[in-house]
Formats: sequence, structure tokens, C-alpha cells
Amino acid sequence: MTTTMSALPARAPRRPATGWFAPGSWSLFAVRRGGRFLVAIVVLVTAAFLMLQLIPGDPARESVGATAPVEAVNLRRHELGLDQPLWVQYFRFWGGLLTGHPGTSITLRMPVADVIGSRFPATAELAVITLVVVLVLAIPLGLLAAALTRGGRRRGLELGFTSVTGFFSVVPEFLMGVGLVYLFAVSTQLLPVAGRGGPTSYVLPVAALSIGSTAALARIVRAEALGVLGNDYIRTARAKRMPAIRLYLRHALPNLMTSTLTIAGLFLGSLIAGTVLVESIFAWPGLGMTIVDSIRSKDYPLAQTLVVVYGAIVLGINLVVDVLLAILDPRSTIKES
Amino acid sequence: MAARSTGSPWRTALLAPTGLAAAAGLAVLVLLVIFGPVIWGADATTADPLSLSQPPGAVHLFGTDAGGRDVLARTMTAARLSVLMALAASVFGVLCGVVVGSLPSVMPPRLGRAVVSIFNFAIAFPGLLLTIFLSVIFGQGATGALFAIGVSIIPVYARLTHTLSSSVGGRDFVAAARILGVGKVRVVARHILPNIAGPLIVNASVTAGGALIAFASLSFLGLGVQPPEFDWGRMLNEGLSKIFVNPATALAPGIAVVLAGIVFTLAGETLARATGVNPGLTHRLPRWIPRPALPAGNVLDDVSGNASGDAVLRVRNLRVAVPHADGWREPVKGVSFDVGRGEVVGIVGESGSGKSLSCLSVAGLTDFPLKVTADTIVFDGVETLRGEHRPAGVSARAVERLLGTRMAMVFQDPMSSLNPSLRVGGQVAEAGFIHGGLTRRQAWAKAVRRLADVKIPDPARRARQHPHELSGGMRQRAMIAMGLMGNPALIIADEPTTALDVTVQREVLSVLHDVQVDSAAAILLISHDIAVVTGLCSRVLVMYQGEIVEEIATADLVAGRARHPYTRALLAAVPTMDTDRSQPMATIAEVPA
Amino acid sequence: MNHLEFRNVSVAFGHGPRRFVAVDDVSLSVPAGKIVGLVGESGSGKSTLARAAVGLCEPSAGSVLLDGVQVSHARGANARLRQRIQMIFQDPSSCLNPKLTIGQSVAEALDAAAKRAGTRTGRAQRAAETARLLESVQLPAARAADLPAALSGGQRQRVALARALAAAPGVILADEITSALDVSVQGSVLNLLRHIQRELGLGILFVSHNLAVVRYLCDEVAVMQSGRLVEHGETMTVLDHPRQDYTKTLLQAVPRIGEPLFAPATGMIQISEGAR
Repeated sequence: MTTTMSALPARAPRRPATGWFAPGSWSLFAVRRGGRFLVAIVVLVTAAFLMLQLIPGDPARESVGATAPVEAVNLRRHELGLDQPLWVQYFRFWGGLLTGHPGTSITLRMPVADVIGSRFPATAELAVITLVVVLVLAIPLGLLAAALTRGGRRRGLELGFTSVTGFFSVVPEFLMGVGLVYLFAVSTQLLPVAGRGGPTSYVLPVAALSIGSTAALARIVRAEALGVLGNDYIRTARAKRMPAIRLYLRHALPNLMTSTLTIAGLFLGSLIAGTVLVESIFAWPGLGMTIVDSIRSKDYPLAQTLVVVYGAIVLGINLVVDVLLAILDPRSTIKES
Repeated sequence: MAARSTGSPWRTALLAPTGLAAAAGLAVLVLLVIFGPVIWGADATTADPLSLSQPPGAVHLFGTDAGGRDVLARTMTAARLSVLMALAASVFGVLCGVVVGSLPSVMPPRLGRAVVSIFNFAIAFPGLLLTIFLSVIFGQGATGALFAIGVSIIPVYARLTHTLSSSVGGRDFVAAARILGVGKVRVVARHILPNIAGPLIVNASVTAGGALIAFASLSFLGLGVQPPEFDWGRMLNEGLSKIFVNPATALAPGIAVVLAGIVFTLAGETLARATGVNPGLTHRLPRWIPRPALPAGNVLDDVSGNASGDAVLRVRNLRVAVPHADGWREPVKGVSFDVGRGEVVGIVGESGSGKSLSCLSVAGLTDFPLKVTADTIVFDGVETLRGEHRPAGVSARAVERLLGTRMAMVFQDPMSSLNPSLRVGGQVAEAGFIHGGLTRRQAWAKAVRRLADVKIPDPARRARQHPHELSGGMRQRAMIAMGLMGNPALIIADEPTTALDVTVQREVLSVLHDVQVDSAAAILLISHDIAVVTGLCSRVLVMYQGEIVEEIATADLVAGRARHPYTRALLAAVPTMDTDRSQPMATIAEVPA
Repeated sequence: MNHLEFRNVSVAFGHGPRRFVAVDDVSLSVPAGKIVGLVGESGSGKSTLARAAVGLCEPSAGSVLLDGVQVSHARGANARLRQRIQMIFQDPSSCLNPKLTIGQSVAEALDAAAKRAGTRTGRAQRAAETARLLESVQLPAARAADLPAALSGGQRQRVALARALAAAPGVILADEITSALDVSVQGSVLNLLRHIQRELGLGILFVSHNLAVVRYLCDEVAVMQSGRLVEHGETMTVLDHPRQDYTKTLLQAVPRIGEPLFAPATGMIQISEGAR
């Protein structure tokens, strides 16, 4: 292609911009993206199902322990449904998930659905509060840092910003958690360290989860913002001699949202993973503690379902992010199809 | 435009503070891995039943754990297992990831797309979550954790490799190799991988840091290293329950993990600088020696020019300096010219001649760290620059308002000079309510009228569209409309049609021409195309290596009355519709960049 | 004999409603020893046609023939025959592998030609041949050890030409090879191309949007618009007496030194640009 002006799409025969399934239309986007979500769910469920089959050796034996009698092993094998043909097991697994009765937890001796129902809100609360804190802090911080240091201005501030955020983004959530426990519970005893109770009990878990992510996201926002500020259209805006605040908020910020949102989606995914660790530090009664316990105690039905639940949450987040992107940036639906 | 030090990039990167810290940190880690268990191994495992859970003291610097073992010795000993496991998992994951990520470049397209969609699916899941899932399969224990972490690195690296190779794979030298019949595997090995090795290596270091933390996380959760083996994560797990008794049992391994993580990050940053993936912090600017401004009223009026006394723009001794490692260089070296009211002046020159930079400086649009100085710049009767600064007595606000309403700009690339996420109408209208005192509604209505003035059909609908819905020619016209929101005395058009086809070029130039005729605005047209400049301008400035080498009336230039040899050579080197086909083209010796 | 022929070639991208025809039923021939100019505006399909000749994209209909042998969609011997068609690209910053010395880049093409001929070249012979090729494009042989970063844009385009020549081509496709260069450098590249073409009797398809350059260099001109070939003939005939309206429009739009673009004070705007 000649690169004087890459006008390849421009030459496409014109089609009505409206109409069902027209390229770039909402319906086509919804069908494609929805289809991809469903395929991903099927793959996820199948992978969770196969997880049990892939365990080296005999899962039933693993589950009851090496010293248990043969009868116990056989009973457990029956409990796990492993005595059925593979395809029967597979459809039972699907049936359980779809009807909302995905079996019974071996260790807790209660329906998996009830375990998840009682534990899920605590995890969701923690994740949502953290995400809000991260977004509210990181985006203005990153934008401000970019505005102040663009083009190599204020080297000292740049060094300070990159060092501090770099340090905090290296410290993982659980170490941050341990550090916070030491600071606020062991040495000062200011805040509660375990369990979920009044508002103060949220402070440390949310802080442990959000400090690192805020630092990392602020770094990324700054880098993205510096990229946006280097664009020709910012020079056009500067040629109009507008107040700086308008330049940053009206002309730079909207162009930042696409990449920031994409990255924030990834962060939310890893936040979900981080809750697993932070819950175990602060004895937070959420799903994270449950999944770790289920793996340690070889409670396979519970672990399998939790894998599906966590996976579905992550896929759901991706879906929401893509829909938001499509709303914010009309070009992304075109790219999509 | 940042200043760069001379010398090899590796040397520079290593001698920077981050480089030194990374090298020292890596050396300590290597020594600990080799000698840690040899020196502290015995202390780390000897239980002292007489001193259980002791606080830090003289004998035990960080106290003892619940089994009465020295915490410092255990932390030092655990370095070997923690670091080696992390490295093993990273090496496994990175190698497999690079192979998987290269597959789509080698496979038939359909199969390749399938591989891409598999790792794109896997990457949606956060690494730690994937690791936890995989540890269900591999069971709890060091080997299981190693494979789980290694496998969870694969999709990340596969995607990174794929993204990087796709961008390199689209370049012309890869196409050239394919045309030569070079096999797919050889293209990947010889043309693609060497060109993406830099970012891959940099990320490998970051990945190793991540793996170290992932290991600590798994062991901390009890899913990794099992007793009696211990790594930092395991120690944290045991220490957390005793944090009220002896905080050091939890803090010592925690600090170790953080320090090791920082070492890997710093190593990554150093590698990034050395391989040029990321230039890192901007260098200190070279010392700037200010040039004294001439006292008021003492500006030498040495430019004859054809402009009458009433110039809309008067530029004297304009210099632009750019910082380099060895000091400031001047791509614009003392340029002086006038533009009369309503006059159309062209600036021609080749790339790097300083023509665009001169005009950006006149418009006050150069950015830090460039230094612009001039004896004087007077625009529309107001002096905007004297020496390095705006003269005292001229308010910043007044200059902004003047430039915002009386000077219009049109830039080269219509694809990038309009904001992609704002509506065209809004971008045009903006100038109206920032400076023009109009309400938003009035400004929008005026913007639609201006769009109509520049011959954009159906302007009301176009105003509501985003730039990507307009053709290149229309966008350039929208830029002109933007300038017409004020009452421009001068339109600076910087290569306004270079990116456009000839037929579209003619339309855009004709709009500029009409605007000039209707509004009596002057035009400063920058172009490398002599035909365009002579076709539109009455006077031409020829720039060469930062200087105006000749200022000549178009009629004289066309008639072959150019005096400067460069002007004559430039004119002769342009192929035209009358060039003698039997003769070789005239050439100009290349100037080394 | 090195006669390149496009026979009813169409190139389409995508499927279903997104199908986009870039080249639409084009028949064009590049006779041995002739330079054929291919002009048109961006998106006219001229570059795509050139890429279809070398297999960077394959025709969705029609065929590409070299000396009467079909080389499009070819395998085996015919695919090797296709390597006698070589291409030079527009962007001097991307035409050479930045990690290989220019000698290595040229040697790779020499190896390809040797492999095609079934011969083996020794190291010394290859070095000598590389030196000879670099000198033929007016670069000192000593520069073979340089990386592309040490070369200017014009020099890189000359190395690209040397690499194409190393593959022992019969036909060269030059895709906007001087568009990214300054006029001062453009002249020397054009002179070199013409000199080598005459010496080796190559056929060249010279793709360009610059009518003046095409007029200077080419024996024949073909004009493309929206994927179709609208006019083709001897250069001076087409440029002096265009038959098609589109060719006339193109010619009229070219700015000429010394001719004012517009009569003073008359708006002569014609909005012909369609909505995109």
C-alpha cells in the first residue's frame, strides 16, 4: 500500500451505516462479543472439568489420603462421580452448574452453592471498594505527574514519582498486608487486623490491595498520558491557546480513557487474584480463603466450582470493559468487527 | 529531543545509578544463592529449644522463630531456593512462551490464528489465579508450584512475542526476505527474533521478579514449598502467626522478597536502557548560556524584503536550540524575515532545513526543552518575543488572546492533527468561546458556517461527526475553518498538502487561496514542493541547514534569476512535466545528517 | 526474455460483507527491457497489484505470468521462477533488517539466487560479488560491514536495489521508491535506476504517485483508479493526449513551477472528494 495516506477502508464500497449486522454496528458488536464470551465460558467449564481428570494418579486416593482403606477410596470415587463414564461426568458437571447445584463440598459437608453464596459478598465488596479507590487515586495522580513532567520537565519530580511508584508496585499485596499488620496492629494497635466487621475492618485489607495497584496504574497512566500529550492534536489544541486545565481534561483525558480502561480491566482481574492472599492474611471470610482451603484439603467439587466462579468473574470483567470501551470510543466497535 | 550521553549504551546504562544498584544487587543475590546455605545452612536448621520465638537481640539479630531457629540465618539460606525456583520457572515459561508465540508466524494462517486465540484466552486470567488453578492439578509442593508458575508465564510471553513479531513481520525487510524465498522458520530466526530480542530480554527480567513473588505467594498460601524445606514465602506463612510475638520472623523474609523483587526490576530497567527499549529518565540538560536581549528600540532592521513597512509578522535573528549531550545545537541559526499584510510567502527547503521549527517558534508552539531566542518577533503590532522571553509590559493573557484569534495554524498530517475523540464541530467551535466571547451554542453555529465557508458539504452533519469519519482533505479544510473562528491576520500552513493526493491537494490549496482573498489574511506556506510554493506565493524564502540562504520574488525564481547556488540546484533537481528525459537528473550532494 | 504479465488480476481482502476489492480485473504487461509507470492516487490499488506479482498477496482471480509461465499461486519450480521478480519498497527506514550488516542483507539474496540455480558459492566469491553489487549502486564496497543505521535514506534505497539485483532478477517492481526521499536525493536514485535498467535490460514496473517522475523515467504509463486500469499507453502519448477524463483530472491537478495555481480572486473549488 502506498503510505501517502492509508485510505484502504475509505475505498470500501459504502454501505448504509444503520441496519442489522452492518460492519461497525452495535448489533454486530453485541453478537460477536457475546458469542466470544459464551465460547470462553464453555472452554472455562471444560477446563475446570478436565482439571480433575488431569490430576496425576487417582484423585479419589489423593482426596482421602494414602493410608485410608480401599472402601473409603471407592466411596470417595463414587462421591466424586469418577466411577461414571467420562461423558456422563461431563454432562453432570454442566447440569450441576446450570441448575445451581454443583455438588456437595467434601470437607464442609454442605452444598457448594451455599458455600459460595455465603462467601461471595465479602470478596465482591473488597474487590469493588478497592477498584474504586485505585481508579479515583491513580488516574488523577498519573495525569498530574504527566502534566508536570512532560517533555523532560522537572527531572527531580520525575525521579521521585517513578521511584516511589516503582517501589510500591514491586511490593506484592500480601507483603503490603503483612507490613500493614505490623505497623497498625502490632506496633500501634490502631486498626483491627482480622475479620470483617465495622468500617475500620475494611481499611487495612483495602489498603493492602490498593497501594500497589494504585502505584502501578498511576505509572501506566502517566506513561500513556505522556504519549497522548505528544500527539499532533494536542499541538492543535495548544494553538488555540486554551487554559491548561481545559487542555488536559478536555483534550487529553478522553484519549487516555481507552488504554487506561483496558489496563484497569487487567488490574481488576489481578485484584481478584490478590484478594485470595489478602483474605488469608486478614482472615477475611471470602471466597479466597475457601479456594485455598479446598485445594489444600483436596475438596475437588468445591475447588472445581470455585475455579469456574473465579474464571467467570474475570471473563465478565473483560466483557464489561469491552462494552464500556465500545461506548466510550466509537472506533473500537469498528476495529472489533 | 532529550540529551543523550555519548559512549556505548551498555556502559551508560550500567554507570547510571539504577545500573549500579542493579549490578550490586544481582551480585549479592548470586553470592547468596551460591554461598548462603553453605554459610548459614547449619544455623538455619538447628533448633534451639532454649530460645523459642526470641525477639531480635545480640545473638540472634532478627530473633528466632517458633522452633528456636535463627531468623536471619534462615532468610539467608532460603535465598537459594527462592531465587532458583523463580529463575527455573521463568526460564521454562519464557522459552516455551517465545516458541508458542513464534508458532503463528510459521504455521499456516488458519492454524496460527487458532494458536493466537488460545493464548489470548489464557491471558485473560491473572497469572496468580492461573497458578492457583494449576496447582490443583500439579498438587501442592515445590515441583507443582514450579510448573504452575512456569505454565502461567507461557501465555503472557506468547502474546508478547506474537505482538512484537507481528509488528516486525509487517516491515518491508521481512517482505523482501519472503520474496527471496527465505523459509518461514529462517525468517523468524534471522529477521524477526533478533529484532525483538531487546524487549523480550527486558521483560524476562521483570518476569523473573514476578515469578519470585508468585512463588512467595504460593508458599505463603501453603501451596508451594512444603516443610521441612523452606523459602521466603513459607517463612512468611510461619512468621505471620507469630507476628505479635516476634514481628521480625515475618518482616525479615518479607524484606528479602521486596529487595529481590526490586533488584530484578532495576535489572530490567538497566537492560531496557542498554538495549534502547526504553530510554529511561531524561538526561540533565546542558548548561544554557543566555544571550542578552537587545535593548528596546535597538533592533537592527537589516532585512530589506519586499514587505512594506506595515508587516503582520516581523522576525529578527530567530534561533532555536536543541539540547544534546555535548551542548546545545541550533537547527535554526538566526533567521530574519517579514510577512506583509495579506501577503503570501512561501518557505521551501528539504527535511531538516529548519523550516517547520522556525514557524512553530514564531507561533510559540515549541515545547520544552527547546530554547527559542530572537532579537524580536512582532506579530500584528505586538512584540511577542525579545531575547528569550516575552517583553515586560506585554501580558501573557494578551499574547495568548492575540495568537489564539489572529493567527491560524494548519499542520501536515490531517490524520493526526484533529482530536480523534471529540466531534469536529466542537473542535472548530472551541476557539470561538475561549477567545471570541460567544456562548457554546453561538460558537457551534458559527463553526457550522465556517465549515460551509471552507466548502465542506452538509456542514451541520459533518460538525456532529468524529474526525475518523471525514476524508483527509475535509479534515485539512476543518483545520482551516478552525483558524477562521477568529479573525486571522496570518495563516501558517506547515506542509498542509504533503499527505494528500494531487487532486485533493488542489482543493485544499484553493480553499486557502480563497480564504486569503476573502479575509485578506497573510499566509506563510511551508512546503518542500517548489511547484506548490511558486504556484501560490508571491515571495519565497529558501532555507538550507537552519538559515535562509535566499529570499526571492516568485517571478524572479521562476525566470531563473536565483542568485544562491543552492536555490538553483534545488530548482534543477525537481523533476517537472517539462524535464528533458534524455538527460540525467540534476543532483545535489547529500549532506551527512 | 523477462516478460511480466498480469492477466485479468483481481485482489480482494476479507470475506462476506467486509469483502473489499483492491484490484479489479487488471491486465497489464511489462515487456522485457521496458519501464512501465503505474500511477494513481492512494487507494487506487497500484501497490497491491505490485505486491500480487511477488506473492505478498495472491490474486483472488486471474493470474500473474512470467515469460508465459503462471507464477501466481505457484509451488515448486514455478515459485522459484517467481523469485526472478524482485521488489523495492517505499520506506528506507524499514527496507533493511537493522540487525544485519548491509553486506549480509545482500549476501542473503545472493544465496537465494545460488540456491535457485543449484550452485554453491564460496565465502570469498560471495564477498567479492557483494562488493561488486555495492559498487554497482555507487556505494564503496567497504560499507558492506555497516549496519543500516549508519546509512542515509538514499543510501539505504540503493542497498535495497543492490539486494534486488543480487537475486538475479528479470523484473523489478519499484513501489514509490523515491517518495520518502528529498528531491536532491531522488535525482541520484532515479539516475541509478535508469542506468542499471539499461545496462541489464531489466523490465521495471515503477509504481508512483508523482507524474513528473514517471514521465521522466518510464517508457509506458498505466493509470489506475479505484482498483481498475483506466488508461495505458506510451508515456508521452498518455501524458500529452490523455483519452480518459480521470487521467486529464490527474494531469491538471499537478502543480507546475511558474504557473500560478489559481487565477487571482476567483474561487474555483470543485468538491469532487466523496464522503468516506
